[in-house]
Amino acid sequence: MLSDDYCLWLSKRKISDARDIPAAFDLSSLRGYFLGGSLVPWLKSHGGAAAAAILEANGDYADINALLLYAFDLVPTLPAIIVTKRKTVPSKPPVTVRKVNPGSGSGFGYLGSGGSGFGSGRGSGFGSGVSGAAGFWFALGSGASSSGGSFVPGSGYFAVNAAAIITMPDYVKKTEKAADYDSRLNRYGYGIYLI
Amino acid sequence: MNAIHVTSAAPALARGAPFHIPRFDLYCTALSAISWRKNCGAIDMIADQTAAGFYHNAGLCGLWDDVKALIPDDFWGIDPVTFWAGGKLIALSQVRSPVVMLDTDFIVWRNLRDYFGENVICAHREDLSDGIYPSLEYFQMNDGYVWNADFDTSALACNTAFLYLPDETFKRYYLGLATDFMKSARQVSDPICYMVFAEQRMLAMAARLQNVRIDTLLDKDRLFDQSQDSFTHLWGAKQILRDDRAETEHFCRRCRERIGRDFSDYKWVIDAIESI
Repeated sequence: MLSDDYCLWLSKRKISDARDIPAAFDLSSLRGYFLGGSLVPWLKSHGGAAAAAILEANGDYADINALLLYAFDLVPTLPAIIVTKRKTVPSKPPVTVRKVNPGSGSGFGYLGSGGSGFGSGRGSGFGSGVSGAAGFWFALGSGASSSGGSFVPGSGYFAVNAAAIITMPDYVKKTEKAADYDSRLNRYGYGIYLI
Repeated sequence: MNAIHVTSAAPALARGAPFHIPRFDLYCTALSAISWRKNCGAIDMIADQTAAGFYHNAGLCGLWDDVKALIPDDFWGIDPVTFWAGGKLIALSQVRSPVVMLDTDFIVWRNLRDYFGENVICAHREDLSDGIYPSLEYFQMNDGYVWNADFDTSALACNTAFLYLPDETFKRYYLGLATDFMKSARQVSDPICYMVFAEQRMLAMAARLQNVRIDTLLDKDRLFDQSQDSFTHLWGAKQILRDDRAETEHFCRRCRERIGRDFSDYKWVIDAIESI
């Protein structure tokens, strides 16, 4: 079991006591800690047993955002919704979040925006369609292990088509060091001549 | 410095393919582990049950200080086809910082003692080409997903074939953002852009958000400058090795010669791989 002696990073602050979470409430980060399995253990060892109990007791609650707000006492009740397994595919666009200044007396809340605004306070457009076409195609390599994990000119997981390979940089040059291993490999990976 | 390799069978199994690691890949994995142990410290293999069983049956567990089956079969509910490298992020959550995560096709040939400090280190940066690293509106996310309004999308992606994470607080923060993204992505048939966003761009943006500095082992614009003598990364060459039998045989012969010449205590690895 890993120890939990690390801080949470919320609203650009390092939080080491669960009682400080409401004042630094940061839904984006808290969702990550929660879904990554870190939040409940951390709360239990940093003064947040009550919040941890709520999160554990409602582990299947579908609206994570509402659950987190409720766990940290930022909304009075947990809305009654049909409990479903997560990883559902709702049809709505993502919500944006506006943090309300705690000094204003209105508390915190999050506002569903319908997806028209991306990033609170920025006002930049978000949600317009984007072509999904990549510059070149990739195909899964058969039977490849999933170890490794890098990308372009190839991750090791994917086959790269000829067109992609041809786009390799012009500065690929052979040198004396590579001369004893005159292989194509050194154009698609690096340091292979060192083997 | 403690390091980990990661192998997950989940992506292959989810595609209905048998789990198998090609011989050239095993040789590179072996050299990666052996060279790390010689030059830098301990290294564990973090795997799932299937992959750990593969290494056990192949007689290769002695390559690592330990082989641990810590990646759950359910892949944390993450789609293993779209997020084929998600096992690396799950594995990172199971180990303690400071730690280096090393891809099995990445070999470190020298001691990196002087590199390790307070800064994150990745292999190199990646240019943000539109086809691979599209803008945020490209991604289809489930209801409720929250884009952080302060993400700096101009931060260059980080190639994590080598990733040094010195601090548990930052590691947890990064992994949390990446996990939320992977769990919140809609079912899509795009195994490229989504994965590299979760792994590579999220790291860069998380660091930018928290003013964490990321150093690199290599300059992205000089990766193929063959003057460097410290790092090997098969990278795209793996596809050539899959497709070209002659090239594969040549590569495997070189690996066997290198093991025999410089790592004679590990000659048993050759027999193990050749007998698979």
